[in-house]
Amino acid sequence: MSLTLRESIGTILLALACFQAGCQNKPERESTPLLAEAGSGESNASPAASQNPYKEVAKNLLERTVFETAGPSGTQIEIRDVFVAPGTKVENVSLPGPAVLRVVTGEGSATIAGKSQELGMGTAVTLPQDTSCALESRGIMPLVLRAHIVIPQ
Amino acid sequence: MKFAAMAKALAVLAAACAAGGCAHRNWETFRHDQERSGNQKKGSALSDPAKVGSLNVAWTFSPSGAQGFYSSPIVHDDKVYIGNGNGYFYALDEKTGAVLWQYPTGTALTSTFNCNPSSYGIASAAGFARVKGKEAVIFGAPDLSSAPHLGDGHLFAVDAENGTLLWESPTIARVTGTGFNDFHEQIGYSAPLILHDRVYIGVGDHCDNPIQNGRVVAVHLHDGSIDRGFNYSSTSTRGGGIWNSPAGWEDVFVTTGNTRNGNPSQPAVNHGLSMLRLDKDTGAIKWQHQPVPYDMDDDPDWSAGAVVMDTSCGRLVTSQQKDGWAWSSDAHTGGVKWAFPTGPWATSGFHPVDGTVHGDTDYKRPGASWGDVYVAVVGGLDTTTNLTAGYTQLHALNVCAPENRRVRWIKDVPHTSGFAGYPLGPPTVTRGIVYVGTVEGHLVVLADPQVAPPAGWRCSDPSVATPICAILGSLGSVIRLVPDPAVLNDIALPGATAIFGEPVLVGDHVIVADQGGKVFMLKTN
Repeated sequence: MSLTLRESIGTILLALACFQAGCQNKPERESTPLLAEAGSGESNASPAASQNPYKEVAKNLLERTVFETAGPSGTQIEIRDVFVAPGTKVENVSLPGPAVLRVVTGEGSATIAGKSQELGMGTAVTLPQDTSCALESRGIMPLVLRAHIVIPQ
Repeated sequence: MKFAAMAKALAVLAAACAAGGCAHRNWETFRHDQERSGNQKKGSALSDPAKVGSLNVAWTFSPSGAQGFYSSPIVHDDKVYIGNGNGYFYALDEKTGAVLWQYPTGTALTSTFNCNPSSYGIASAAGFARVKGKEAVIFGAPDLSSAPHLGDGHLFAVDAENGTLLWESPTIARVTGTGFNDFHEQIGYSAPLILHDRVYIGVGDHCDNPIQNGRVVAVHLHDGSIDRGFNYSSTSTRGGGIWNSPAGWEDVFVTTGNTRNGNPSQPAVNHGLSMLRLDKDTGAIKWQHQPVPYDMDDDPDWSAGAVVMDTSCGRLVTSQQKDGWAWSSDAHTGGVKWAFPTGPWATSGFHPVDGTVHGDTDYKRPGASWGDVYVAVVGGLDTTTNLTAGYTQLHALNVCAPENRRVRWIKDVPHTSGFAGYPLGPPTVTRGIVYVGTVEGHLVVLADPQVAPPAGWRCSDPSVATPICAILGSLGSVIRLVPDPAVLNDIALPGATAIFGEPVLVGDHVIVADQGGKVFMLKTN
């Protein structure tokens, strides 16, 4: 089977167009839609594990110890991360000793002895001994405070 | 009849090419293209989840007197091109690993400095171009033959076919001594950006002590002479070194290093710790994004270069600093699109009172882009409380998504023991299959869940255990379950040490080099 001149020219033009498309490495935008969310009750947990994961101490409240050492006069010094789930408020947060808590992630407020204080990155609050507080996390990020605690003998 | 036969032959050739038969055989610059995407868009066995499990080592190459490979290979027309820390640049047969030529044949391209891996021999990956009608490979390297014979940095264009020198640029990175006020600039890891009729290269320094003034230099592609009409310096004194490879799209995009080390006070002009768009003709700054102010500069260089992304939400420039924060800006205006993790800094930068830390940590390798996805080693949502946790992970970030959907997936990459600088090399990607080299000499292949089912689910905040994550958080927060991608292959490269460079993806072959001085070619069965 042979091609006519017109067919041949057409074929060549088509071939050149295809060649351009295929060989020029012309960047075409690739489609990467958001992945489906996990279903409710998703049970296929990955084996990935944090070296020092938080532990749940109350609903929407997580904590983990990041450092501890002996302090003066028989005290114990502990550095603890206190994590309040985004968009939640946790009442009656207590620590084992007086503490200074500094915000390291997120924003919200702390209410101590009836007084409320706004919390943002870098701000700090003092929690006296045997006192509890309420912590509120606002926004889409968790509120995480790094607590420096002096634990009495 | 002859004409018709030619037409038929052309049609067959075109069909093969249109199906991806030729362009994907090449990887012609560091990170594949001018945008530094690290992305092989053409499909092949490497983008088929069912086939990558058969990847095996086909050949290895180690040069005589090998030092580490701190540069990455490039590939053009079945030839692999790569420079070694021993100061020689090699062309290899991509099918066999046989040496086709080396440059130079005499004295190696080295400097008098060896205080950092970037100082050894050739750390600059090459770029491929046509020079005076010839196919050429262009790379940066020190040259002891140039006065004062301490190894100042030059660009070299070498005939890709036979290794003969086409041109050598004048001095680009000056080395005059080791004193405080001497120059000890270097090209180091910077790979040339070949854009239109110029070659752009970044200048950093040998080993700081003290840091040098970062610069971008442009030379003319046809003869290597310096384009005096293009000028960019990072500061009015010292700082803002370019430790990475400029990216190109309409203009030139760079990221810069720290400024405070060696300066008694902030220089009057300070473009350090910045992502910048430079006019391709003049070097003038079109926009600058500098999230970490001078007062908080504890050396969080932008070690990773800029990646220009063509996304469904516009043209973005994305990268991350050594401190772990990733940033994405509008390529046209420089306006910040997002920061990861997010916070008040996303709109106003960091402030000394915000408690964040910006030091010499190890989020250093460039990321890969795939559609609206950026894959990189970055600090995670927990970076303010667990600074180093992200070193051994890959994060995939949805660059166009709302903040609460930024994290697409997270992977703890196997065989990444220790926190020694570079647990992972720069990832590369082809159609959702991600390739990355590890500090233990493994090549690990992952599948985005769009192309293969994940291994399971984990929390978007790596410090939160999966079961708690599943019940935590309110609707719309960043705390949620995200996929943990499946590992499709995990190959212990024989005798390999840490992998610093990128896995290059060409056809059904992967080419990757290690710090022990070996190049590996793997192919699917």
